[in-house]
Amino acid sequence: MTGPHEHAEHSPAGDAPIGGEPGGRRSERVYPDRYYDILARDLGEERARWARLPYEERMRELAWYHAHFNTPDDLSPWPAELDGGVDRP
Amino acid sequence: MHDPIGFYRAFQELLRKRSIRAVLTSGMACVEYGLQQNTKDTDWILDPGGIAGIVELFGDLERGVSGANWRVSYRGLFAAPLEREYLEGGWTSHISARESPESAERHLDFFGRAPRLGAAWRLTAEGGIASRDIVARMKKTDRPKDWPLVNGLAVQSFFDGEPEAVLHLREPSILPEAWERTPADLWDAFTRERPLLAALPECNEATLERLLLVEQMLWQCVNRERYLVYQRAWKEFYRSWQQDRIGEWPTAEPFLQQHRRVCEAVRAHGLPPAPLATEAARREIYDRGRDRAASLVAAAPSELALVAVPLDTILP
Repeated sequence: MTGPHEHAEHSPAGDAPIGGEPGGRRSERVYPDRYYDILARDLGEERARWARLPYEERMRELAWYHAHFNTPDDLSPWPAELDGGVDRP
Repeated sequence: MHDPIGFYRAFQELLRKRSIRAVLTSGMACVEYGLQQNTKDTDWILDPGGIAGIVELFGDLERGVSGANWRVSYRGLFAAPLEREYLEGGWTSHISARESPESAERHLDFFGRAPRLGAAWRLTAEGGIASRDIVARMKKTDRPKDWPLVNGLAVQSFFDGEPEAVLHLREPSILPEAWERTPADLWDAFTRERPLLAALPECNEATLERLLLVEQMLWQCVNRERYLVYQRAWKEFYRSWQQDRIGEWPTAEPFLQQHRRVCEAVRAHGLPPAPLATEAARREIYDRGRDRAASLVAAAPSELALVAVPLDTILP
């Protein structure tokens, strides 16, 4: 297991840049089982199963769902970051 | 026609071509991080210098300047105009778009001074995805369903060796371990931002779970108060604007006409650009949120003191 904080570079909070990965693609990363167990507990077994898939496969699966279903989602007039959402009464 | 992921990537490319600096955040960023499956809308943190460029981009897309004619519109609720003054004042702009008559409706939300990030954060990259640290901060909303995502992002960060994980971890079995591994030169800054960290050596598992609960409730309640300030300001503005008998908003006009209309309206009817500009205003809602949190989870003053996230962290 890769130990936390190895090879990490720190940007002090408050003046750190907004980072990101140009190109918008996440690198492949397989986490220890402990991580997927936490996902299964908090977000459900299905989400944990999906999270274990390689990146391209994850995205292919989502694309298939979007193509075949009109999925209920966060397409809401009240965005989460203004603390809204479809579940807000 | 794109699926939602293809759409965000295509839009990101449009931003890059115009040198508009923005990063993808929130739900779609969580999709990229392998945490969320079911979002379709895209949220962007914009460099303030790029706000005028976005307006121009939408106008050009509608006119088909560089390809197909899009339909772009403001959305109806709780929307400040895409103007620097408003986005820097903590408002968000909400846009809907269709790349063609057959395409699905896309929702795009733009932040300038994003909640819980403030103005101290700046963009250094063109395009890309917000870091887990940034997404975690933005996900600390008043909605309980966002908090497992905060933890998921933080656990990823922990396993990737990012010290900032300790600012967001909610996992009692990992947080003490992560804190032990935090380089000493970061202790002061991190405990200032998250006072709970200083209490870790004295906590057993049950105490830690309790403090995490109180801490989360503090974030949720202060955020709720923040949201109410913006909601009240918007409703007041909208009622006044309605007296001009504008009819339905958004109108069916082209985007640039809508934009001009709403920009005139916010000035004529007094939508405040920055409702929480003063420290006194932020302090007031912080105190209200803290009192509500204390009441909801019956937190003792001593518990609240151990988790009291500073004002400039929770309401920067």
